[in-house]
Amino acid sequence: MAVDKKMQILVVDDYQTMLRILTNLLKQLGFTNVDQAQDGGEALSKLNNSKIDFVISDWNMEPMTGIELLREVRSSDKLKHIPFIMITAESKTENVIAAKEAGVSNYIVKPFNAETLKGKMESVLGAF
Amino acid sequence: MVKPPRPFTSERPVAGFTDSSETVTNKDILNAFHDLLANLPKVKPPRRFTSERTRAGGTGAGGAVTNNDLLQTFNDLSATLREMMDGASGKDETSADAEAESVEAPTGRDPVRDKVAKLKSADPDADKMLLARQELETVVKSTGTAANEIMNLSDELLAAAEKIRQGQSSGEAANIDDHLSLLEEISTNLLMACEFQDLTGQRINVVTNTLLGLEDLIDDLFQAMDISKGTGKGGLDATTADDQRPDTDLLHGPQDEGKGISQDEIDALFD
Repeated sequence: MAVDKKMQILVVDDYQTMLRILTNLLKQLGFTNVDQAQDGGEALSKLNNSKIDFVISDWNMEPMTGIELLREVRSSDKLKHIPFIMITAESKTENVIAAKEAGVSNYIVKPFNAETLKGKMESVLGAF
Repeated sequence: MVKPPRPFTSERPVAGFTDSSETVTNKDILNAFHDLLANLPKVKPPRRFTSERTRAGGTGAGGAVTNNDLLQTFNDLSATLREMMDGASGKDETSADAEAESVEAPTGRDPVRDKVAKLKSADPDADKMLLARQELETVVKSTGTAANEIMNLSDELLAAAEKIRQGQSSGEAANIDDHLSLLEEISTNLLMACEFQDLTGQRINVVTNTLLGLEDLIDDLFQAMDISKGTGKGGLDATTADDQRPDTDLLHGPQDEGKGISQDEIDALFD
């Protein structure tokens, strides 16, 4: 089934620069509906109040971290099916394992490139 | 440092020996102690000697200075010198005196305290920690500004490329020179946007030098306190002590190349 590039993607990061990079990269990949949030709490609010089809989130944010957001999403009947990729500078094995156990769909370590982002999204959505 | 005392009475008679046979008597010795007292630096008033009241005579019969008088005077002198060396603040020290002591120049009385005091700037606005933090905050701000500038130029490049594509697809006569000039201009602006690295590099050098200076002061302190082996938790702090978020033990921050897990290793965990 072809990937719907009109899907609503939510990017979550406390750094404006990274939000802009991700939004631009996604647009270059053909995904034009990209919303932004600057921490887990804001993201959760958007997830509960609008239709989000895919989440790309940082880990280290305040007051709610990305892994807390992931746990909230996976524990919600309404949200638990949403693909969730973590893009983060946290690069210890224990971080990846914790994220996996929390139900992350895939994990990208910073610094990353456009090809890696595309590859991990395709691993979840299928080739596009 | 206590000034060298003036010559003791015993080196030159003040008013001659008290005994006509020029033998050193207890009274001579007592006078010598009082002369020593008179020569001590008046940092704070020394404790009143018990034996000062015996200056005119001892407690012995007819005012004779006894061995006990001498011993008492010696003990008083000893205690006074000890107090001065410890730099202890007496009960009669006013709060103003205490305040003045906390900001005055190194006293020499407490070497460790003097070293610790060097870590704190006399001018609160010139505090090294504060200034170092401000430098790094400026670095974050200026790298953010530069990143935005570079991304804006990237957008302009994309727009220029799109314009060329549209021109081609519509069959318009390609105005190549105009497009090339625009691309060259964007390229030059991209180059200039990278100059932030020079200034941020200099600011970071300033912070590094400040840290080196602080490190030297702290090393002095370790030596002064004879600390050769530390007991503290090493490493950098990715979070603050009052961070209330759960899982702060999983927050390590960016790792140096080769220290963290690679993307390939992560991918293997998901296979």
